Formats: sequence, C-alpha cells, structure tokens
Amino acid sequence: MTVAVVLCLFVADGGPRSAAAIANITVALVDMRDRAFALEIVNVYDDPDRALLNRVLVTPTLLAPASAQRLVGDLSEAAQLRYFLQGLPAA
Amino acid sequence: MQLDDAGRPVPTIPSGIPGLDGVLRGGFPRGRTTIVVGGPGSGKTVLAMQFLVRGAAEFNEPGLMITFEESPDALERNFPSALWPAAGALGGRVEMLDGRLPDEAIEAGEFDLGGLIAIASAIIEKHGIKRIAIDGLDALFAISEHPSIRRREIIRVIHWLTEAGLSALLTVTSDEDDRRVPRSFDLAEYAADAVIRLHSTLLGELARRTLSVVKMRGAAFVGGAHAYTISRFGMRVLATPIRTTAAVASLDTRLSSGIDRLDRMLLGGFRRGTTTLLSGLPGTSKTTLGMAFLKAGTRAGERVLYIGFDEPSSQVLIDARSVGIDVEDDVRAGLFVAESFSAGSVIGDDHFIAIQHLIDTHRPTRVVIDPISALEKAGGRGVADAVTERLVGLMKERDITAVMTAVAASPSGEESTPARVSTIADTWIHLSFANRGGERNRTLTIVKSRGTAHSNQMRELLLSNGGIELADVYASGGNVLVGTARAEREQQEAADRAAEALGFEQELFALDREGEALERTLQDAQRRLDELHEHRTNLVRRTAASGPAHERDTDIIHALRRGDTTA
Repeated sequence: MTVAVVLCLFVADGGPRSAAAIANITVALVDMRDRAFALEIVNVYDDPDRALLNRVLVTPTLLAPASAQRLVGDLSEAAQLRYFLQGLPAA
Repeated sequence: MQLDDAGRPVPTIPSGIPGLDGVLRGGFPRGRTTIVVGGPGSGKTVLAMQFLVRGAAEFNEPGLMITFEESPDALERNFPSALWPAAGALGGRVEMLDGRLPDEAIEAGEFDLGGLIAIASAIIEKHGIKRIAIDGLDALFAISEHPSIRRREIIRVIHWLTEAGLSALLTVTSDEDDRRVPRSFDLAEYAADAVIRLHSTLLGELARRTLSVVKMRGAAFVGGAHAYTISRFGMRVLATPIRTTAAVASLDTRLSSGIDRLDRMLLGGFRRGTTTLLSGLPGTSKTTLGMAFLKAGTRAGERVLYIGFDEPSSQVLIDARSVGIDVEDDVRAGLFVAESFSAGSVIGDDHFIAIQHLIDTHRPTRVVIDPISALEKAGGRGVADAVTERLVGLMKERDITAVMTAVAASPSGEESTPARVSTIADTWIHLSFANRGGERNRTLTIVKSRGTAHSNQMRELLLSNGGIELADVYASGGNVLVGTARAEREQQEAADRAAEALGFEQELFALDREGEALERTLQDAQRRLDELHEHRTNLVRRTAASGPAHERDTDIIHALRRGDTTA
C-alpha cells in the first residue's frame, strides 16, 4: 500500500493568485497520477497561526513537510512545479 | 496644532525621536502611514524600533515590528541599549514578527503578501497593536522576477494599514546615490501620508547625517535638511540652532573666573549662563585659564565639566597642577569631570550629543570646551559653526556658564577662531604675546563683554607655580584720564586699538608663515634648478661622446631619402 506524499498549499482566500495556484497544482497532480499525493489547502485568513508557524508571509506558498524547500507564487511556472514535486522523496 | 488643507486639525502621534516632532510640527500622522527612505546604514531600523519602543514605554501604545532584513534577535541586540526601558517599564509591548523568506523559497509565479497581512492582522487583534513598523520590505522582493509585484503589494500594504487605522512606519532602502527612491516606490510615496528621507553626505572622511521631510499630507512642516545622529542614545534630530544674541540672564549673578584681577576687569566675573570665548595663539595659556575658571567652581562646591579635544584630559590635569591648579581631590569627590575626545573621529553632531549627555548626567554649573575650534576637524567650518551655536544655546538653556577656547590662526591653517563663536559668545577674551624689552610676554585683552561694562585695557598674564596673576601693562609715558568724556573716548579708542592690534597680530602671524612657505618654495626651486643644470651638463657631455654615431645615422637617412627620389 502506498502512502501519499503530503503537500500543503497556503493561499489567501479570494485572491486571483490563490485560484490560479489551486488550478495549477491540480493540473500538475493529475499529470503525475502515477504517484500518490495528499494536498491540503490552508486559507491564511482562517488559520493565521498556522501561517505564522510555517512563516508563510507570502501567498500562495506550497510546502511539503518532506522537503526543506518551498515554492512561492501562483505555480504558473509549470516546469518549476514539476521539478519540485518530482524531487520529493516517496513517503 | 497642525491644520489640514480644510482647516481641520491633523491628528499626530509623538514619533519617539527627540527633535523630530519639532520638525514635523507635532509628530507622525496618527492612523496613517509614513514612509522613511534612506540608504543602507542610514538608521532606518533604529528609527522604526525607537518609534515602537518609545511608543510602548511612554504612551502605552503596543507596537509590532515586522522585520524583513534582520532577525528579531539581531534587532534587539543592535538596538541602542540606553533606549530599552528598564525591565517591566514597557507600558505596552513590542511584538516582533520575522518576515524574512526562508532561504529555501523558490519563486514559481506571482505572489502577494496575503500571508503577512493575515498573520499581522491576527497579532494586531490579539495584542491591541497601535503602532506598526515594517522594516526593509523590499528585501522580500529580492527573489522576484516580477517588478510589478513589488509596487502593487506595497500599495496594498499601505491600504491595509490605513484601513486598520494603524500609525505605521514603512522603511524603504534607497539606491546607492542615496537620494532617490527606487522607481517602484514612486507610487508608494503618493499612497503614504508622510515621506521622510534620510541622507548621508561625506565631509572629508566623515559622514554627516541629515533628514528632510518630503511630504506631510495636509500639514506644514519645517523644510530643509535637519542634522541627526545615531548613537547609543538612539536617533536624535538636532534642532536648528537659534541665534541667541541678547537673552542675558535676568539675574545678574557673577561667577569668578578664578583670577581676581580678571574678575575686577569684568566687574565681578562672568555672568551666569553666558559663554565666554577665550582665543589666542598656541601657547598663550588658554587651557590654564579655563582650568582656573573650573577650579574656582569646585572651590565653591560646584560641579564642573572639562571637555578637551585632541589632548588626553589626564595630561591637562597634570599641566594645570604645575601652575598651582590641583583638581585631584575634586575629581575624586565627583565634582570635577574631565573627558577628552578625538575631534576628527566623528562628525561634529555626534560630539554635540556626547557633550549634551555629559551635561545631562553630571549637571555642571561650569563647562570648559577646549578648544572649540577643533570641531572644524569634525566636518568642516559649516558643521563646526552649527555645533558651536547649538552648544552655546544648550549652555544658555541649562544656565551653565561656559568658557570655550579657540586657537586663533595656527600655522597649519586648520584652525582659526570660528567666526560664529566670536559673534555669539557673550564675552570675548583674547590672549596674545607681546614682545617687550627682549621678553615675550603673554597678554590678555577683553575684546567684548555683552551687557557688562569692562576694562578694555591690556593686561600682562603672569604664570607661576603659585597661580595666575594679571599685571598692568604701562604704555610709555602713561595715560592720565581726566573727566568722564575723556575716559569714555579713551576706552573706545582702547577697544579699537585692541581689535586693530588683534588684526595686526593675526596678519603678522599669517605673513610670517607665508614668508616661511615662500622661502621653502624658493629653496626647492633653487635645488631643482641646480639639478636641471647638472642633468643638462651630463646630457651635453654624453651627446658629444656619441656624436659620430649620430652623424652616421643621419647620413644613412639622407641616403635613403635620396634613394627614394632617384628610384
């Protein structure tokens, strides 16, 4: 049984960049459906403490607990996103 | 009170920066955003922190610092310790938010400051934050390849701050040329209610800091550049010196100069709260007179302060003892404080702050600054004049009786009696040398003494290990004064003569120096001429030796030229 790689996308609800980021990561995850990912979307306005804890000052920010790296921005740079996802160790 | 364009009062809050509220005529606009623009190291962060810390401590307004360049730890460490209120003294608190992007962040598209606003909003609500400072926001955009983000987000932040009703400071680092705001902030300047720029001007090797208010929406402010300092006391804006010409203390209290005869010449001594300029060539015992003045204070149980430039104060005390002025016990008793500074090590404004601090902590009734003319090494004549004026103003304000010495026309030309000090000093005493009967004697003349009838006659100054004395200088034939009119006329003449003699003396000194310099130039020129002659003689000799070869070469060239035409 495969365990999904956890991803956490912090967005500022309602902004155009948030919607774009959610759309962009959805497309990427569908493309990479041979691997299992679990995506959680956090709205910083609903959970500012969690944003503070993870030092998410800019939105959108994509975190993967398995990696020290993070992606900031609306994830419109597909190659950058794919490279990041592929580099994550399988759980 | 500040009024806006429509005549309504503009609410302001105290900035927490001594002197700045005067420039802003109140303080920062309340509930609005002020942008502070300055080059690296101009003190933006200190300003921002001071705004918050003083706001919390003095006005019970909790603050939030969002830092994008330094860690919160480093900020607290680097912040002037004298400004942190004693533990527990903070009425409100200052929260810190680390806004630095983790190094591992990679840009993958356009981003915004939604996270920052969400986090800060939560903190603001939780702690009832009233003042906020956002320091070095531009660092956040360093990784960004989208220049438009920067502008858009900064304006967004300003709008958010205004909506939240916060009194905010936003610091912005300017480009290297120090005066321009990065282009992307032009719009931010429109969005902000006030804009302050910090400048740094190099004067020789020293940087002079000045600040100017560029914009204060709907309110008047004091234009122009205002000097400020950053020290262990934090940031301070120095008030523009006000010419104090008359303002003599209403109470005519006299302080002994420490020399009986001089006191008599001044009809009792120096007036309390006035400043006396003591000028003279090197070696005319200006320092000794200053020390005598201070000693007279400690003898009466007063606290006194000696500030020396470019000579260790320990040496000054030793020298004073050799002429019978021993202050060792006074130093031990804490009455006499002596400090020395290297004049050229910092800008004059910083010296002012240091002296002000000494005065505030020691609270002396008498101060000697020796020599005030050394301030020219701390940023040039302009800075020296401004600082001198501020010092004289400070003395008057604190009712301190001061003596400032000045080296008149030294050989190097580096120092001269600052024009400003001779104008603003209440009393001017000049010391010089008089050659008489083959002896070189020190003399003393009171050039002016505001609000005091005084003797204009020259006195001989006698130094011995028993102390200082003044003796009459007898002109040949002597002067017999008859009647008031004659006495007055003669006093006037004496004053004119003294001033004239002073001019002659300085001119003579300058002429001698110029003569010596010309003499040296002449000698150098003669030496150079001799060298030229010698070199020429050698060359002529060598030319003669290589003559035949030279002729052969010429023949060949001639042959070649002919060949060219006959071919």
